[in-house]
Amino acid sequence: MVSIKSNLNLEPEMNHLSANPILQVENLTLGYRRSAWFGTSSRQQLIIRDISFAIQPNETVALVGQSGVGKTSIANSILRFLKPWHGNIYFLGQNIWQIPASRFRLIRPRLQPIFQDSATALNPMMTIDQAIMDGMKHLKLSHAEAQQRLNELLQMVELEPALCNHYPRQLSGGQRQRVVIARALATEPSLLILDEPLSALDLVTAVQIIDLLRSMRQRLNLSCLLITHDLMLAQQLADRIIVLKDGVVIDSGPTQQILTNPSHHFTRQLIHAAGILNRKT
Amino acid sequence: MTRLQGMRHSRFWSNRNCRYGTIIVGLILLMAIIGPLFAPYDPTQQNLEQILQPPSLKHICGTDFYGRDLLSRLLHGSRISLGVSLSATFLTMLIGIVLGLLAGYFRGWLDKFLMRIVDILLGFPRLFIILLIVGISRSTLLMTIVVLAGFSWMEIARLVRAETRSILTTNYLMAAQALGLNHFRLIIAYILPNLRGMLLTSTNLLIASMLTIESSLSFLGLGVNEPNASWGTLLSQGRLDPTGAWWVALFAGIAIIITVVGFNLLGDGLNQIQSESRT
Repeated sequence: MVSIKSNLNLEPEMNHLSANPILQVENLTLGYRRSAWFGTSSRQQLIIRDISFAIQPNETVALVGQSGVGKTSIANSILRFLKPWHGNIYFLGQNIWQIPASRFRLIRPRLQPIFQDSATALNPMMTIDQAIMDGMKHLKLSHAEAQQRLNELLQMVELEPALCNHYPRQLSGGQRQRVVIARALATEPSLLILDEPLSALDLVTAVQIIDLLRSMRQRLNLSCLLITHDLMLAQQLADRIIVLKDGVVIDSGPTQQILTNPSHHFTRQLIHAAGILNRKT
Repeated sequence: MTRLQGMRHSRFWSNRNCRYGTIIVGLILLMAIIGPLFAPYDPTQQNLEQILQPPSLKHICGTDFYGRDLLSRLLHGSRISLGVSLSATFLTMLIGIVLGLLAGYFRGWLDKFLMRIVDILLGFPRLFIILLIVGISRSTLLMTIVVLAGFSWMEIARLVRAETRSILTTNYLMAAQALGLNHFRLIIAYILPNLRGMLLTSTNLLIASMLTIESSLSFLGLGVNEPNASWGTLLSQGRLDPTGAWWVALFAGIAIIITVVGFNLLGDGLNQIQSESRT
């Protein structure tokens, strides 16, 4: 495999952080301000209140909760798309909302999102190979090296090289999600943010993608933040689970502990609901 | 050709407006490019013995007040009329796209500043300002093109800005930002190609509008100067004796109408295809 980390122009302090968490979220409070009356006044809506968690190297943490609880807002804040009201987010030891944008751009490729709807996650005007190659832009690889890496990535996500010249709309949902994963892996990320990665897929494809994500995680020593409302998916992929309700953490711990001995009645409701759904499917 | 390109190609041809628009525009452009080579007479050569001859086999479109062959003037005029409207459209699109992208992408004070300029310029009656500037300055082709573009880019800039802002909220753009790509790459590879449908439609409608304005300027004597001909100047000469020498204005008028209809059909057809692909 073409070496990548050697090409990353990171500050020395970022390269010896293996003992530290990959991601650390401290007292995060998020919300939206909505303007009303032509900007003369604004309404504030609190989404997430004072939550903290950390993700260690090679660990997968699942954020579980009902739809609309603010899970995706947390992801957007970690990706520096949504500014927190309070709190800090450290990625590779850098406080991402305090460092300048130019500095953040150096570490940004190591923090990759995988969105729930693969149909909207790929540029409709770009072929598959161009989309994946864009993930390697910051590595400054030669054309031959980039081509070699593209082939390796396609092989890794089990996509046929013949699909390279295709546009996203010519692919199935499962194939598109594999392209999204390949593009994310092209940057050799330290952390993947999986935002409901299976919600737009059928059951058979979803199982294939779970297997793929699991094998990628082990092969590449990836850390993952899994955002889902599905406890069963969290059971398949996560080492730890954090349960959110009404914008606060109500339960957290190792996956087995949460599933076998939940401390909050809402977690028990979730497990019960997932069990019923599981039996029905 | 990929399967997707083939699919778009067939959708383009199966759309009646696109098909007829392309044929009309193609023929008009062909006329402008190779037509003057087949012009039977020198378009500026006066023949005082042949003044105001009606259409005949010798002069298919008749002659004007100076005995010049109108078919030759029509063929040469097509180059000037289409040249001015295409150049003005190109310049308009260039200014509108660049400023619209900058305003929509970078937002903040640049967006506010550019949009206030747009608001101010849109506040003026466009044709009046163009007439005023072309009227008080020396009327040249370049001047006409610059003035036409200078007061027409605002709508394009607004459209591009609005589309850019909507693309900024898409998942594919957020994913591209997460790849650490620079602003230039994001604009060129992710935003601009996704504006293509809207820009194609706007371009065709704008060419038709520019042709009309250029013809109006020439009609009022503010466009192309004699002895050069544009369709507008031919139309203008026709007003001197519209019932007696009806042929002077008729053929130029027909050429303008067919060209405007052609570009409008193409623009509408592209707009329909774009709407269908969104639903």
